[in-house]
Amino acid sequence: MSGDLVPVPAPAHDGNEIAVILMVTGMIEYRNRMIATFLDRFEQGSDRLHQERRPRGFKKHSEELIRVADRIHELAQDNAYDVRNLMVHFDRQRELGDSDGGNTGHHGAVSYIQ
Amino acid sequence: MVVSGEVAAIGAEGDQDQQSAGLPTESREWYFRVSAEYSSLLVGSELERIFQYTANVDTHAHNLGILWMTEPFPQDLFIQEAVSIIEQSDAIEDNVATLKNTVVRFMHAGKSDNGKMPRSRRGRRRIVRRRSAPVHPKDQDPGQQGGGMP
Repeated sequence: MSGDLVPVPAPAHDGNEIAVILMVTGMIEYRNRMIATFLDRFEQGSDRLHQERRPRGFKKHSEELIRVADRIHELAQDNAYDVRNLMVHFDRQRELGDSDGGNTGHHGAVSYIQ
Repeated sequence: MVVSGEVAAIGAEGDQDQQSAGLPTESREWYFRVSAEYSSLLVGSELERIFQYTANVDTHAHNLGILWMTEPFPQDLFIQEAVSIIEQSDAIEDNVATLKNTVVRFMHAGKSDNGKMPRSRRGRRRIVRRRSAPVHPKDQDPGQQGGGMP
């Protein structure tokens, strides 16, 4: 069959794109585990606050809870940020694919190899 | 609003107990008990919600990876999953902000109830009365006047 033009679906993603999605989803899962850990810590801190009777201890536990809450907030923010970036990356790739006659970029393109 | 009703009920009960025991109405113990119960009410439900949102984000992230590798590429589904992750993450941020506000409120309330002066008065500068009246420049020793280099 050498010499014939055989339509072959282009690979959906190259190595870089697969690396991008694996990195983003991996980081989201990692951050989620961190969030779960911090939520546990928050719950424990809340219990300690519940049992605390000294004003100084009350202040200490409250401040720790605020720090933990801030950390959870940052992690959730990072997750949303990464996914937004992924969407932007996706749109850019799609635009590139469209402008290049549809033969590069993402899915649906068909390449011809000999 | 339900929570504030609970607090009012707890407060009324605490008042009754303390009045019957002959204790002061607003004791520190009573305050911390009520505030901690209030926080545990709020924190309990908020934490549950955040746990749920986190689990949802995990699921959507997993789906995102699978969709990315799927042929033909399900673009709409992919966008849908990505938007879900963003929404759930925003929801986590909102709920955490609520938690933080609750804790901050208690922290400030605790400061004003721990036997110290309220925050607004504590920061004021103390007025120190001078022991001797200030000396007018005219009455000062001439040797001390000027102060500059000769």
